[in-house]
Amino acid sequence: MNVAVLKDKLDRIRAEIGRALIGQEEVVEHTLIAVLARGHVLLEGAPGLGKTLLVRTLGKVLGCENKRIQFTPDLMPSDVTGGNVFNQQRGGFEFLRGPVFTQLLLADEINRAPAKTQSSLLEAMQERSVTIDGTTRPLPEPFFVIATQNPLESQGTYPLPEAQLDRFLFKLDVRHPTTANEKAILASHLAGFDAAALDRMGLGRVTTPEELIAMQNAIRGVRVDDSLLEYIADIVGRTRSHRSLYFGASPRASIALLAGAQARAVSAGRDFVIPDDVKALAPATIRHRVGLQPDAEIEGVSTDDCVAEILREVRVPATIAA
Amino acid sequence: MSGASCLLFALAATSTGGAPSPAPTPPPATTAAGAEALPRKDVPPLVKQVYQKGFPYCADANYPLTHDEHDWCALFPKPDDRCPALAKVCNREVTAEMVGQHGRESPNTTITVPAPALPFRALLWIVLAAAAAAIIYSIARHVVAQRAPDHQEVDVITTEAPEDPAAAIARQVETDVQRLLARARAAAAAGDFGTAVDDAYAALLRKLEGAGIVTVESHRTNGDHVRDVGRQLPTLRPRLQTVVTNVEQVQFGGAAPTEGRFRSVLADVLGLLSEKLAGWLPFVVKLGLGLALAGAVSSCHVNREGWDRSPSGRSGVVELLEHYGFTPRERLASLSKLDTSVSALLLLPGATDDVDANWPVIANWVAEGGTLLVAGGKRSLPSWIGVTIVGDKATAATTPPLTIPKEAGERLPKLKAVVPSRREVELAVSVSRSDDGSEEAPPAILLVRGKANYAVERTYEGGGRAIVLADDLLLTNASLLVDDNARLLIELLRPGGPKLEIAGELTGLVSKSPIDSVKRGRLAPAMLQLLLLILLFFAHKGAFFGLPIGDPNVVKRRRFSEHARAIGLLYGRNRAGRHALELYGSYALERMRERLNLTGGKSLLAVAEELATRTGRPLGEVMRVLVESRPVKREGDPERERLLQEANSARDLATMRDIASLLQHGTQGGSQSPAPSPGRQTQPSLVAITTGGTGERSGSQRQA
Repeated sequence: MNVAVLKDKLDRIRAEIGRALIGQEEVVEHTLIAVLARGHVLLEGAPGLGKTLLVRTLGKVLGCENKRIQFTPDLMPSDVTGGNVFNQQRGGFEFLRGPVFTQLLLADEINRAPAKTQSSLLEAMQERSVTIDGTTRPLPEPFFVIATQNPLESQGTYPLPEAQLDRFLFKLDVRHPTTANEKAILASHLAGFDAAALDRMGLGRVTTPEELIAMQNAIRGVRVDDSLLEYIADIVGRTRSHRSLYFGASPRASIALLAGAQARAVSAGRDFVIPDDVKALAPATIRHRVGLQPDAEIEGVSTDDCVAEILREVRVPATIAA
Repeated sequence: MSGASCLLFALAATSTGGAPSPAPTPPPATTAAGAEALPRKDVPPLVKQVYQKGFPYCADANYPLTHDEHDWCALFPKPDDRCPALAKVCNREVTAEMVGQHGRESPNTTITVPAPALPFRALLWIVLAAAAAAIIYSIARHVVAQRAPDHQEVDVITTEAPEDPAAAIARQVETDVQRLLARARAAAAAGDFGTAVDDAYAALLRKLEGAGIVTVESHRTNGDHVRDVGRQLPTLRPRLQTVVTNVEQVQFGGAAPTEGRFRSVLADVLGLLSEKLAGWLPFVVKLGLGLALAGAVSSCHVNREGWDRSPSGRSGVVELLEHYGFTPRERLASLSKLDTSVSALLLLPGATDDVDANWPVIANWVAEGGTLLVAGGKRSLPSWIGVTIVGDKATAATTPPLTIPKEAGERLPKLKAVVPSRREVELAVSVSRSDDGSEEAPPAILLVRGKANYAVERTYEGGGRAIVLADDLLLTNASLLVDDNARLLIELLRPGGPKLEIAGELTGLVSKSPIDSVKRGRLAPAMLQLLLLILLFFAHKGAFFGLPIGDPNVVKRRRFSEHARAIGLLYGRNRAGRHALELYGSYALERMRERLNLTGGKSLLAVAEELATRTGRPLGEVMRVLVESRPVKREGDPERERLLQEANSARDLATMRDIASLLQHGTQGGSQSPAPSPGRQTQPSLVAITTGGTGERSGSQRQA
């Protein structure tokens, strides 16, 4: 599959998503890049910004099976992965698949479930399989998780552990729409748009799961110059020595950044990565993989600030500047 | 007794008591100051020696002369081996202007920038008006911002990585556009098309940087540059993107840097370079400002260099005096410090302020034997000199020579001297009277020009003398070439001794106070303008100058509460509510024991009883609160502890509130405190600590 075909498909996917979801172009773009890069996405934003709508639309456009899990404090791991249930008729246990057995999983408000339940997704996200009662069951391909969390509420929430955060390729901040976009949303609703009834919209299916897998495999062939590998390593490496960060990003972040940059290059119609790809994706890739020093946190410094500072310090490959 | 009265007394002592004094006696050969008159020397060879060093008007036939200098031309000897080009210089008529006292401006040889045209002047005024409006708007916005203290700006910690100076020097790169293009072509000619493409692209970026459209920094990518161009020159963005794509294909895409690719890149780059990249407005503004500045500069440009070596200058006179044996020195110190170490003092026309203030000192010095030579100038002379310089009018009269009256025949040798008389200045010899009413001897007239006095001399008891000339023309370089002018000057100064000081504009320049400095330097208008500028800047910047339009509100309380809240959030996230309760409980119990009047001991029960009495709350309830706030023994299972903490967080919060209420109300003179209501938050930080959040309670916890 050549780059031009890939780009064309991605453009069509964007266009279809844009029919249902107005605005949030950057979130959509990053999510598509994550899908191509076989990564998972954590969406953080206030309620009502279209996170669930994005996932449902994405599922329809990509032609992937999608399921939703609403995480609550009483959710158990077996509610996510499934479990063995005794079948009286058959006289034996049979495995009932949980909602994780899908291609596109929306984990809504993932920080509302206790850590035990959150960790049930760990294996699924990393290994793309779940082990229940000693039996490892693979998840469908392609498989990706789009989790959401609300940044406003901390009462009754369970912050995701670093190990799980590290499994997400990107953490995206979903912001409120602009006035123009909000007006367009209202106009859309006036025209009869109903987010609960997406089927009526007639959203076109642009790809199939098999095509998606092929697209994912194709990006592995995107060329990455040695200087860009050094660039990525330099950026991630500096997070480990930044004065405002308690802990820096792991090599998983470097790999994630590399994969994301390859996917972004394809999205732009290139078969090679350029520094812009890396620089554009660095904040989304790193912000959730680092921790702030207490004094920095008290002073209002964010991880994005730290990443921005690092990006200003790191020399771009092939620059003509002194 | 003042110096002036001393001189008058001396004058009176030398008078013959009411009758006009006889002709002034020749000056003594020595002065009472001990300085010996210099022996006579032949002056013309010395003049020749001075002119051998070369003066510009003696070598350059195109030397421009001012009106005053050209007046000497009729008096110069023709030809004159000492100054060969002088004749030709004089033939050129007047080609320079005098500016001030010591400035010469030669319009014909000075390149002047024409005044800017009307559009540029108008543009300059528009820019100035816009700048003033921007400053006023900024001040107004600052004032409005002061009235909205709740608006807090988030402190952003952004620091640039310090650059190693040595590394910066080592990384000096080529920034000249044309050189980069040349380098690109050279690399292409050598077959290194990769480097050629890089250099061609670098040339384009440098051009864009010079036009202020992009900023080339090590952390900025090509995408950043394209976006910058897109913002400012949207029509050029696609073309730049094409170049960038081509370049990046070579740099990162593994594409072979071929000649064809280089030519394509170069063609695109050259096309972009030929575009008018800079916005016309900034260019025009810069041009307008530059022209205006050049015009302003040119209008005040004065060729002051070489005045001393011009015909009007004095460097030749000083050299002549040195050759003769004088030790001439320009006096910088104030004349208030004039003492007998100076044997002769020459007052030039520019030395006015310090002289006027120190006439008494000069009088004392003359009384002690000093020789004063006043070379003209617009000044009123003190009565002890008895001479007034009058008349300063232009005249077209011919130039009569300077003649020596018979009475001065012994003072001055027979000589022929002449100075131009473009301006007629004469000395009026006044008749002064002594204290007893008798007339004092008038000064001796040394030189006469036509019917007017040109030089007079008054001698004093003690050997001092005061010589007054009508002008300073004898003390110019040009005068030395004319007849016996140089010899005349020497003869006037010779009796005074060798230690000659010349008081001019710089004399007494050292001011006694800052106000004096400002006054002398006429700096008041400039300083007022500077003060106005500072006031404007003061109003604009505000806080940096103290309390101008009102200090920005420092919301310390809010910041502290946010700080406390942040700490509470940290505690909450780390599930440290129980820990915080124990700490606060211990603190509160100690305070209670200090403040309460405990008669039955300081046990927990005693405290609880006192608090129950004071607050009216049941003893059991108070006791429960105190007990729950005490540190508990950890059972060693961190996980269980953590779970317990999570489960009891709401109760811990309620306990903390109770403790705070008991401490506040129970220890204040026995007032009864209301029972704490679940919804009331007495201390936001405590809420944050135990709930690990914003303090808002969930429904389930509210019920608990």
